Amino acid sequence: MIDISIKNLNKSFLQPDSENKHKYNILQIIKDLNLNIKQNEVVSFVGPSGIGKSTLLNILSGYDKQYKGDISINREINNKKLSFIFQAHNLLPWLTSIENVKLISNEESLKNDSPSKILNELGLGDFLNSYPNNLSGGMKRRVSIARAFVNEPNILLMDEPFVSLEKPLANELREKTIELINKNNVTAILVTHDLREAIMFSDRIIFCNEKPMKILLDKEINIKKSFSYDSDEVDEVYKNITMNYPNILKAM
Amino acid sequence: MKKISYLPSLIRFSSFLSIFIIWTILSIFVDHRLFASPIDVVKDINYHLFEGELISDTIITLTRAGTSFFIAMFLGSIIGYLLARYKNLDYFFDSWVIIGLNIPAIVLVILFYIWLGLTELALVSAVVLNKMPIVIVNIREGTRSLDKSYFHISSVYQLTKLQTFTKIILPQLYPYIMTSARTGLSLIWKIVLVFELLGRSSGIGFQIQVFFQFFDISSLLAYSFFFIFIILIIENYIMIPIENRATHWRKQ
Repeated sequence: MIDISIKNLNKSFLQPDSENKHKYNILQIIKDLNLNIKQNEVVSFVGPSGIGKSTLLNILSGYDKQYKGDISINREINNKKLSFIFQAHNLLPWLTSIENVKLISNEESLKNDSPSKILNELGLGDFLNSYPNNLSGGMKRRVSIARAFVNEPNILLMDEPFVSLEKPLANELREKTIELINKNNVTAILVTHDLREAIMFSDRIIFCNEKPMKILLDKEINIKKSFSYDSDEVDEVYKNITMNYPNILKAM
Repeated sequence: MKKISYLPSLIRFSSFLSIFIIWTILSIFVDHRLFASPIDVVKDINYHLFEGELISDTIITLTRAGTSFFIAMFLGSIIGYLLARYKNLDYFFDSWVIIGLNIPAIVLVILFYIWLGLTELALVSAVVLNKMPIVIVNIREGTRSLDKSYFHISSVYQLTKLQTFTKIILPQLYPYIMTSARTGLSLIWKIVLVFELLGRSSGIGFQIQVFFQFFDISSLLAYSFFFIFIILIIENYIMIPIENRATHWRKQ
C-alpha cells in the first residue's frame, strides 16, 4: 500500500545574481520529482549537500508550502502523528527536557505519561528537569529522538540526525532509533551523506545529485533493519554498492 | 564549597559611606540654607512622611508613571511586533517612529497641555507618546531576531497559535521586553516629574516646584531621595525578580 505519494513536485528559490546583487535568478532545486513510498517502508536519500534533500523534507513536513505538484499521505498525520528529527536538535533552551517533549505531546501521550516513559527509555530519567544548556550533545539528541517518538508517529522524517556525533554514540542512537521505528511501524524518510547509515536504516536507498535534484539510482536493500553500523551484513551491502555502482558514487 | 566573598558588598558600602561623608563635610563649609546636610534631609523626610503629604504625592506620581508605563509597554510591544512582521507596515511607519524618538519630551507635553488642558489625560498621553517609540524599536528588533528554526517545530508538531506565542515567541522576546521595561521605568518617572512641575497641581514634581520657589533645598532633596528609594525598591523587588524568572534557564 502506498503511504506517501509525490507527483510532479517542483520547487524553486530566488537566488541573488553572482554579478548583480540587486538581480535575482530562479534556482530550480526540485524538478518533476515522482516518488511512492510504501507503508512502513524506510527510504533514504543519499547525495551531496545543496541538492534539495532537506527541502524535500521541509515540504513533506508541511513547513514549506511554496511548491508545485501533488503530495498525498495516506496515513493519519494530524494529532501530531508526523514527526521530524532535525539536523540540529532544535530543543527550546528555555524548556526542560520533559517540557520540550510535553510541548509537542498529544492528549493521549500526556494521559499515558509517555513523555517521562520515553525519556526514561532513552536513559534520561535523571535529566527530566534539566535544561538543554546542561545536557551534552548526545543527551540533547536523545531528547530530540524522544520528542520524535512520543506520539507514536505514523510518518517520521529525519534530516541527518546523527551528524556531528562521535561514532560510538552515533551508533548507539542509530540502533535505538531503528528499534523505535520497528516498534512503531513507522514510514520514514532519512536524509544522509553516510551510505552505511542509509544501509542500516533503509528498505530503499535513493541516490541523487545535481540541481535540480535528479534520482540516479533507486536501490532496494534486502537486509533486516537490525544490524549495527559496522556489522558484516551492512559491510557486505556497502561493498556490493560501491563495487557495482562506482560511477554513481563518484557522481555524488 | 564555594567561598562567599564579602569584598564587593564592602566596596559598595564604602562607596555609599564616602558620598555621605563628602556631603556632610561640604554641608559644614557651604551656606547651610543652600546646601542641606544629610541629617537635615533625613529629618525632612521624617517630617513630610508623618506630617506632610509625601505619601499621597508619591502615590499620585507613581500612579501617573505606572499608568503611562503600562500603556506605553502594551501598545509599543504590539506595534513593534507588527512592524517586524509586516514589512510594508514598517516602511510606512518607520519615519513616524524616528520622529517619535526625536521629538523632545518637553515639546510633547506643552502641546498636549495646550490641546487637552492641564489634565491627567494630557500628561499620560505625552508620557506614553514619548516612551512608546523606544519600546517599538526594541520589540521590533527582538521580533526580527526570532530564531526561525523554532517555528519549524511549531509547524511540524501543529502547535496552537497560543502555544507558539507563549512557548516560542515570548521567551525569545523577554530580554527585549525587559530592556524596554527597565529603561522605560527609569525614563518615565523622571519625565513624569518634569511634566508635573510644568502643569499639575499635585505629585512629587509639583511639590519640587513649590520647594524651588521657597529655596527649600532640604525638602527638595527629601522628596527626591524618598522617590528614588521607592524606584529602587520597584527595580530590585519587582523588575529584577521578573527578569530573573524569565531568563533563569540561562543561568542554570
